[in-house]
Amino acid sequence: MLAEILLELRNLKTKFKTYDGEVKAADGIDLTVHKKEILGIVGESGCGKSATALSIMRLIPSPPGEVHADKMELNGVELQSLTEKQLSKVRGSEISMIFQEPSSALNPAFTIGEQLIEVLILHQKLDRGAAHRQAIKALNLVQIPAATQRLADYPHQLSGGMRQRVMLAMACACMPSLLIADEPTTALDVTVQAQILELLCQLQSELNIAIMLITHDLSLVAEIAQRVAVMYAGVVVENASVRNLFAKPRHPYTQGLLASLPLLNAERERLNVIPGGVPNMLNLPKGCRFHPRCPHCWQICRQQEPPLFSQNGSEVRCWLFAREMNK
Amino acid sequence: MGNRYLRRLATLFFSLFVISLLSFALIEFSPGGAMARYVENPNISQADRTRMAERFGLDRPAPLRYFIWLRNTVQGDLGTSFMTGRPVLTEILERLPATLKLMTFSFFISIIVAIPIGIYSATHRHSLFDHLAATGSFLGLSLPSFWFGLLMIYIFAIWLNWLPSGGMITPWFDPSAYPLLIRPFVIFWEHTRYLLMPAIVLSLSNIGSWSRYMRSSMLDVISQNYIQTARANGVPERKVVYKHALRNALTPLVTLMGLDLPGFFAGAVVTEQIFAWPGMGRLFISAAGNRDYQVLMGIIMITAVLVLLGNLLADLMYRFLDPRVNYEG
Repeated sequence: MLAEILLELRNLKTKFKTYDGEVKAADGIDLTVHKKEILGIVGESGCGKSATALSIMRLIPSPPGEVHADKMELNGVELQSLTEKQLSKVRGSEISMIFQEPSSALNPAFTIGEQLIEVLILHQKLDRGAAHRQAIKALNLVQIPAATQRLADYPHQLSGGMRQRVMLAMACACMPSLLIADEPTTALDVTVQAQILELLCQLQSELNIAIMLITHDLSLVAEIAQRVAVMYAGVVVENASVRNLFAKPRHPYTQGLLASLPLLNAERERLNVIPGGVPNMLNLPKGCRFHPRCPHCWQICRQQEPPLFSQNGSEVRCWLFAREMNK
Repeated sequence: MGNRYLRRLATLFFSLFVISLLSFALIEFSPGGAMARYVENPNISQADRTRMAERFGLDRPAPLRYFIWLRNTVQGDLGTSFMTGRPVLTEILERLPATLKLMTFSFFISIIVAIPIGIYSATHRHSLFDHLAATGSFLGLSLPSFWFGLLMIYIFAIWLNWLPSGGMITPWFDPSAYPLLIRPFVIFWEHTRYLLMPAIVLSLSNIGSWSRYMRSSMLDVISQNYIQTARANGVPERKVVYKHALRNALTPLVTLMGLDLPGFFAGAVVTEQIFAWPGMGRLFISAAGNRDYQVLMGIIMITAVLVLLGNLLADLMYRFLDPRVNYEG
């Protein structure tokens, strides 16, 4: 099952200099995305999911941002060594990204067609006519009805779901090998959410795209992803296949997240919550970042940050597994 | 669609009516009156003044005079100048081209200078250039144009002797004295060298405010999600700024330009006076000094029409730049 490695990220650190101090949005992230897989990245707001995604896209503004990774390779190419010109060739054709708010993610001053055709001409060096035909194909691919007419529409004339489809069409028009979807369904209503998810799965299987699905919704990940990375306060705390993660969550934070999912047939009346709140990123707790909220916290957790322990492709950043897993 | 423009047109005429009423009242309530300039003149007796006032129809009550003025104006007759006895419209139309020439030139200078400064300041925020541009625009906004104009005349006309200190064209300028090949350039330069200083002085405060406005509008747009989308799709940064961002950032600026149009006319009054520019602004000042109220009313109305038309044009531009506006019903 383990396919070729598409994206390898080692020790990614993304910092932002603010007036109050340095915020480490990503503080040593290791991630691997294999070809054609859907990797879910789950975490609360502010845990560094989007910062990680934007770091991979090399879209963190500097200053105030600062990105460094020991390794950030896409198809064996170190992204950090690329010039701005080379990067704009990679963006949109090798890696593309769609965002949370389809309503504001499309330029209001240009038609769908103008925006789509621009990307196609940019990356595939097509002439206008060919790009136009290709744009219609891309809209058909994301199942937008009456594609030819839609090309002349402005974004404000489309519904939220349709806009997200257009975003997907733009992102996939040049057949990227990796699609980063940053909370692609959060702003949509539930029925539309399901359609977009289905579309993502379909694109992944038809175009052989690997998808990095960033979300705070575990159930979404359970539905379509093969592997999950759970993030907490700028680090990956657990990384496992979907099956393993849901069957046997290891990290106390993951356990807490799963326990807080509402169950339809449950007898309990109140939802379980993880006590406490997300730590202040300017002032992280010493030792394990999760220890103030952790029900299993012991001495070492307060003093020393745990490394990633791994076993059979699962990884967990928790001292509880120091003995049974390998460092 | 058509209905909306009809409504706009109706509003335009209503505004003109209100402007005329207010200006007429303002002139009526100002002390002195049309005959005041003859009071000190020993050659003109009280009887002469009464007779003149009767001839001009100034003995009738103000409301009646307003209605007569309104009736004539609607028919395209702005009356006769008290001073010269010539039709007001003729007097104004003689001067209008010069003012429009100055304003158009100054408008383009403002755009050509302010927009790039604004864009560069926004894309290089907190750079040395940004700070210099900020200082420069505050200077531009706060320097009085009569002072700056005189300073320019002192430097470029008197000291360096590069540009003429005033006027619109050299009276004995004869293009046929130059070889055919360079003649167009000579004619162009002849017009430009007279225009340059007054146009720059007239542009100064607009460059100041427009460049600041452009900067903040651009900063606002640059942080929008769709700019990130464009970057994420591999659109090169130049194109992100000059196509995706600029188109959206220009929208509010166009409105500001429309609103600043009266400022051009007001500024032209001072600038034309300093540079002896034979335009409507100077006519206005001399008419005000001579209590030539017919001419004053005429200039005010012509200016009002131009400003309102300018705003209508800005509105149309706005609709062109931002397609969402069309759908507000």
